[in-house]
Amino acid sequence: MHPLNVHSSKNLPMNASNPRAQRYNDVMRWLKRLLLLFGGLSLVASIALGAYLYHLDGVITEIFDGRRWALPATVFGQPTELYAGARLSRDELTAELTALGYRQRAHVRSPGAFQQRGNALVIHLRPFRFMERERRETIVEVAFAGGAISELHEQPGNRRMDLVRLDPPQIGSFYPNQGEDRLVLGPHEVPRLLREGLKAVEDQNFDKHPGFDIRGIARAFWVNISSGELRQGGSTLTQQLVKSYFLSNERKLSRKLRELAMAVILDARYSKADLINAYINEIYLAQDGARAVHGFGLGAHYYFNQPLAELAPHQIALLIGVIRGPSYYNPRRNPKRALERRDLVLTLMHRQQLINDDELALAIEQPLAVSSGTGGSVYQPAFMDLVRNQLRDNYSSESLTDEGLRVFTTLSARLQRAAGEAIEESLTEIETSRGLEAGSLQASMVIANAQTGDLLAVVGGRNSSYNRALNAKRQIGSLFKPVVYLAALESGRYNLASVLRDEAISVPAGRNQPDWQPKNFDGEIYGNVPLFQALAKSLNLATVSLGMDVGVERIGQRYGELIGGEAPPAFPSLLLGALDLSPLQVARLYGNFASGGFDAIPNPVIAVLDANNLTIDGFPIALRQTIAPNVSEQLTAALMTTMSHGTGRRSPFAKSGIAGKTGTSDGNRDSWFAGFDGRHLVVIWVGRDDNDRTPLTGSTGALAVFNKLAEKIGVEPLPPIRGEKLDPQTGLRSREACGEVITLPLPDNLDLPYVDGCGDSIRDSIRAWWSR
Amino acid sequence: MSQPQADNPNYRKRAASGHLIACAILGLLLTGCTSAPSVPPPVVESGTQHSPKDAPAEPTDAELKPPAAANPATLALMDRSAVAARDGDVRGAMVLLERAIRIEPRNPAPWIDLGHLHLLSGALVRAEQSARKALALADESTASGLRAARASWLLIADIRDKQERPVEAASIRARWDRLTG
Repeated sequence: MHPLNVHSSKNLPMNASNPRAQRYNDVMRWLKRLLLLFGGLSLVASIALGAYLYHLDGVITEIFDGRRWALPATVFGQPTELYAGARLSRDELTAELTALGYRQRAHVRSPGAFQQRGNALVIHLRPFRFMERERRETIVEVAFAGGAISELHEQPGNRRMDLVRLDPPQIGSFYPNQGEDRLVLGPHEVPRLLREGLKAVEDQNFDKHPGFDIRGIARAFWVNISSGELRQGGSTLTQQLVKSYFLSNERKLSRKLRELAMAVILDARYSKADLINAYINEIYLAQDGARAVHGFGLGAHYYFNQPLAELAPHQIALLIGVIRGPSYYNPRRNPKRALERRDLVLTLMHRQQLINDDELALAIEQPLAVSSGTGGSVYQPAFMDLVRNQLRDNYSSESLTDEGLRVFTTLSARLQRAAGEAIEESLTEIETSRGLEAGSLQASMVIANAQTGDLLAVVGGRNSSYNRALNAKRQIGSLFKPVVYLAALESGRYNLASVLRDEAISVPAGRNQPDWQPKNFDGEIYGNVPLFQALAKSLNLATVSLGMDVGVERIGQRYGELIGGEAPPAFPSLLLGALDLSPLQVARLYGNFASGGFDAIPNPVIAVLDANNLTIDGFPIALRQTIAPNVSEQLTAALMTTMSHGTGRRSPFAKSGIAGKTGTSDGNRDSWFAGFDGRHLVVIWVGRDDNDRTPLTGSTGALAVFNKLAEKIGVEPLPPIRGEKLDPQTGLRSREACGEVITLPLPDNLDLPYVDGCGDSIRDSIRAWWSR
Repeated sequence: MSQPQADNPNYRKRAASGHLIACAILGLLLTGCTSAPSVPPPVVESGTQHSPKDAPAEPTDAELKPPAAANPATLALMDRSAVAARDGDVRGAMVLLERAIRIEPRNPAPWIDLGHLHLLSGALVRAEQSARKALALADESTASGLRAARASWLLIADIRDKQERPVEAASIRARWDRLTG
């Protein structure tokens, strides 16, 4: 509007004399002004709205595209290997399959099922991308004999197989800091019933509307008005998707409008198929501690311990039902409410002809059948701490949370379960029998493959997220003694039958310090004892005397070599284990003894693969020989004697071919056991978090936990010891005819007499008499 | 980890020769030997004691028969590993051997093959540690254990060659070649 134009019209001569015309002109003039103003404002508003929509478009497409590809790394344990000769009974295999979410059926028709056929199991294995090859779905018949697998055949065709693996358990994932965990699925992995069921329940016009749905809003409004409660929401799936991206429940009109605009933009930009698949991977389904369960892929595992593809209609209906209120309809906490909701979903599915009458009737009959625990036996936080530690140096947190990496680890789900149960059961028994407050004792455990050092199970505590296996360093007490005896045997001046002096000893402790005067655990003095007995009975005085002779510095140095680290300060108290270690550090130390003299860095990760299954990083088995085989053999024999005739003798497995050592710290604050058989190294700590005294020694605390574990997983005896037969008390040569003997490897041509009256010649008897 | 790439032609060549070695060892392990061994050198120079491992009892011909029972799973994996190595996939071959080791960790045979693969890829320390592990596991009082010990020592001899220590390599071979007559 130009003021000059107004002025010029005002001066028109024909209108100058007519007041009505004058008024008319004024009105028109103002109208024009208004129109121009409005037009101008509209233009500005349109530009602003356009800019805002452009901004929203940028925001939402960036989020959508980013989220579509943000795949948390998944972490797998070791798969169970099936082969003829594997010690796995039918019941044990059934338990393994159940833990992996396989279902027992009358006939196997699809992956994830197994059936019993006579004494055999027929398993329809799921497809799986292993490290080195992809396995297609396979049907395998497993026959058993005497608690072990006797034969494997692929069906149909009955082709004999040498070996086959179960799918490995998923033990965790690297979800981002905000806690969102998900298992992302491609469109081909989503059952049609889920896709269509979601539309039927949440958004019937999904395929037609432009991102929002007036009819849906009107219907929801009507339903809510007529029922008098908030039963239906009017949001489309697209709006719900947008809402879940911003994780806000703010009820503001501006937010609603913003969501609406974004939904329309998304709908215009992406296909309906893309949108529903994003929804299926995005939507929030449960809270599991700090972890938020998002998407139906993980939801299926969390609620049913099964892959989504294997779910039956009633299970899919439950998951769809949960969306409306994951806490309100939580089937574990509010089963009745969840069941009603599930049945409502089933009815809607039936109304939309997604399931027929029979399927509806069958589904409604089913119980909720959610798995116990959270997501079956998966998610092992203590072990995952170690995986995280190992990967921290080489991977940014973004690569772990976004790139769909697949991490293969050494964890054995079976041993992990057994370890957790053994701790819980034995500590409860101890607390009950000793009248201790329930839950006052804590424990942690590490199980490793004795030969490779692979970490097989790590329990960080009992009902607690604090990882004691990794972080709680406690005094190891007598667990240190084998290092003293190792250094002694290596010196060449001692053998297992050497006689040590167990007598009062006083060690100078430096200026202005009182002398160190150690005592035996029971306060007794034993005089002359054979070396193997001193270790077996964990005699402090004999050990200190031996250690002082060998040299504390040398022993500390040897310890450093064994663990690939630094030698601790050479104080004489080191000889009795004045050293604070975590159970994992103890496992590394004892790995040297269990493996026949090799140190292995206990790496939990075997390999990291990218989303295309290409290996990014491999961590091969890496060993370092630390002890000569002949010395290692002697030490193993001594530790076997510790179990059979020493502090471990009360274990029901004492004479089952295992080696081990108990440890108790000052004031019974820490009860330790470290032991191994032909397959596993086990380290157990029992104590209190406040480091207070307990009534437990290594043999009544940690060894009791080991006994419980051995009951569950069995024992594979170490190869029998070869050597000389000795009298267990005196350490002199003996014969079976003269009473109990133990066999120990001794140096050739060792001049060791026979025990009294047991020699094969008069000469031996005389020598024995003289040696007394 | 520095593993050679499967698509490196030089690497394939080496892998193929490695397969021959692996097959030769497998053959030896399976077919047995006919003459008595000599005393092998000690593995680690510490301690002066003498264990049965250092002085194997000389086995009789009757004892030197092929092992009666070998785990079919281990053998199958070793075979597959040899095929993978022949095709130039040393990384894949190692994964298969490690799988065999995890199934039967006390069997020296896959440790020896693993040592050969490490040797092929130039990881001499790892190769020697695998050989020493096999030696520690080999029960030399049995025929199969004695064969495993011999295969381990011959692997160590190959490693000494690579380390340009031909005198040691020759000395080991001189001791252990006698086993084959």
